[in-house]
Amino acid sequence: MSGDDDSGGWHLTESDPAVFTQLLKTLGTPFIVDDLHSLEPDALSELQPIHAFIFLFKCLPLAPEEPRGLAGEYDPDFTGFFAHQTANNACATLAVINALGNIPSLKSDSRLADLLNFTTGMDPQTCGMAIVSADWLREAHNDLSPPSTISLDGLGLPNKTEDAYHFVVYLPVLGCVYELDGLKPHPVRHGTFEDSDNGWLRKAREVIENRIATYPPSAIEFSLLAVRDDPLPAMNRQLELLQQSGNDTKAAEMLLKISNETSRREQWAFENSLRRHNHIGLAHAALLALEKAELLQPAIEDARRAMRERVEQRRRNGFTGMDED
Amino acid sequence: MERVTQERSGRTFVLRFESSDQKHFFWMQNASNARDDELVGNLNRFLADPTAVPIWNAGGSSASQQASSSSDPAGGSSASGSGNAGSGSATHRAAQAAAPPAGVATAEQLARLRALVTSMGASSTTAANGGANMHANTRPGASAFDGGSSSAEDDDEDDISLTDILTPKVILPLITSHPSLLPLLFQHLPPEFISLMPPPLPQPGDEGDEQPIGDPTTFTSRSPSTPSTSTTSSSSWEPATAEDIASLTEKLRRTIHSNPFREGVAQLDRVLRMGMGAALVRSLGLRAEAGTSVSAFLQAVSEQGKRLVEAEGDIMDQD
Repeated sequence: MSGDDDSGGWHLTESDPAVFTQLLKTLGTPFIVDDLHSLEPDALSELQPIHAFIFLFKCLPLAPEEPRGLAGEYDPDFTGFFAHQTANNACATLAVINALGNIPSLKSDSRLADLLNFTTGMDPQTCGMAIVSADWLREAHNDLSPPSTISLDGLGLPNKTEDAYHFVVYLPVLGCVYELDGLKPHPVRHGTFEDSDNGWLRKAREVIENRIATYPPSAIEFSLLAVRDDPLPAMNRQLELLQQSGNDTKAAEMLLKISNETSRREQWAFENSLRRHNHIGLAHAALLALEKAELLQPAIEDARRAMRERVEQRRRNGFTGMDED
Repeated sequence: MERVTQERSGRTFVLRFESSDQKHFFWMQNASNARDDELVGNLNRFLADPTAVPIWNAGGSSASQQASSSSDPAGGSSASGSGNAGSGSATHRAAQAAAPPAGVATAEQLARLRALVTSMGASSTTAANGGANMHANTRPGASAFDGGSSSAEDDDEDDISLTDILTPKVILPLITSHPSLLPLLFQHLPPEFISLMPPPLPQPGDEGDEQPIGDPTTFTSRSPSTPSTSTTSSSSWEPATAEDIASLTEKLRRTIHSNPFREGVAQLDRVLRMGMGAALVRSLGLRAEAGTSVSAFLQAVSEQGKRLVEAEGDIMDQD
C-alpha cells in the first residue's frame, strides 16, 4: 500500500479527540486525549496528570505564513525522541509518536516499544522515515478512516477535509518545556520550569498563549488537545473504595461521573465506527428503498430543482469563476 | 457552437458562453469534414437540452443509424487561449469521446465530450486568440470538480447531485413510514452496530448493556469491505426483537445525520460525476455504464429497485 504520491499510503484522518484516543488505545497506552477549552489552572488540574499538549492549527488563506520569529531556541543536541514529518497525511499520528516517545516509563504495545528502541540515536529525518515505514502503525492510523476502496486520494482531487491542520507537541523533557514540530529542523527548547505541582503546565501555557497572540485575530483556526491518563480505571477503583467504606453520597457522585465519562466514550466509539465505515452500501440501499417506497422520483425532481436554483443564484450573483464551498 | 467563417478551412468552431464572455475555439481533427456539421449539431442540441436524443446521419459505411463505426473516430480537439502545451492524451480522449458508437454509449460519449468542453471552459479564463491554436488542453474534467457544485452553469451534464437526494429530509420519511424496508438498510450499518446487539433469546436477568462499566465499545477488526452485493436479494438477516429494531432505527437515524455519511455520499457523487464509477457500481450489481454519471447511476438504481419490487411480487404470488 505504499503509494508513490505524497501520502505514502497514509489516509487522511480527522483530528478529533475520539480518533486520537482510539489510536492511543491501539498503541496499548493508558492514555486518552481530550479537547481543551481553557488553559486556566483549575480546568487543567481537573485533567491531571497531563503528559503533553498537542496544539493544532490551520493557517487561514489570508494569513501570512509564519509571521513571528522563533520563540525559544533550537536544540540540535536534544537527547529525547524527535521525528520529522515525512508523509503528509501521517502528521497527526506523527505528533502522537513524538509525544509518546518522550514520556518516561511509557506503558505501551510492544510494537511501539520496539519502534522507539529501533529509532534511538537516529537523526530526525531518518527517524521520521522509520516511523512512516512501520506498516502496522500505518494500518492502525488508516483504521480510523474509511477503507481505501472509496478513497479518492490518488486522483488529484482537492482535499476537502482538515488536511491543512498542523500539529505541534509541547511537553516536558528533562526539566525543560520542549516544542516538537515535525516540520522544524530541531526541537525547540522553551526554558525550565519549577518542578512543583503543575510546574510544566504553567510554563507550557505561557508559551502557547504567547504563540496564539502572535497571530492576527481570525488568521488561524486552532484547537488544543491534552494527552492525559485515562481516568476511568482510577475512578472505578475509587468507586469500589467508597462503596466498601459505606460512603453512599460520595459513591453516588462517583457513579454519576463514571456514567458520564462512559457515555462520552460510547459516543466516541459510535463516531469512530461511522468514520471507519464505507457508507456506499448504505447509500445504495437507501436509494433502492426510496424507489420501493416510491419516494425516489419526487426526491430526484426536488434535487434537480435545487440544483437549478443554485445555478440561477450564481448567475444572479455574477459568476466570478470562484467556487463557493 | 458555430463555425468561424473567417477561417478558410471551415473546420474551426467557436463555443460562446451565454453567462460570461468566454469563447472557446475548436479545431476539427478528423481527416474528413463530412461529419463536422453532424457533430456540432448534436452538441448544440445537447447544450440546449440535455435530454435530447442525438441524431446520427447514416454513415457512408453503414445503412443503419445504430451501426457503430469505431473505425471512424470523429474528433474535436479543443484549442483555448491558455496555451498549455499539447498533451496527446487529451486529444485522444476527445476523439474517443466523440466517436459515434450506437445506442446508450452514444449519449454517454457525447456527454463525455460535453464534460470536456465545459471543463475546459471552467479552467481557462481568457478568450482564445484566433482560430489556429492547436494546443490540446488540460486534463479533461480537471477543474470540473473543484469545490462543491462546480461551475454548474457550464456543467449541465449532471444537473443533479446525490447530496441533494440522500438528505435526512428525504430519508426520514422512509424511516417513519416504511419500517418494513428498514432491515435492508440495517445490514449496511457498521457491523459493530449489529453484532453488539443483545442475543436474540432473552436470558433471565441479563437485560441491556452487557458491557462492564468503563469499557467502551471495543473495536472489531475490520474485514475487507466492499459494499454488500446482497441488496438485490431480500435480506436474510432480521433483527430479532422490537428492542433491536428500535435501537437500530435510532442508530440509522444518527448515521444518516452524520458527517461521515454525508462525506461518503459526496464522494460517491464526485466519483460518478467524473464518470469513474464503473468498478464501484458493478460491486453494487449494476452495469458499468451506471458509473458514468450521477444521472446514469440514478436511472440504473431506479430500474434496479423496480425490478426488485416485481421480483418480490412474483415470489409473493407464488406462495
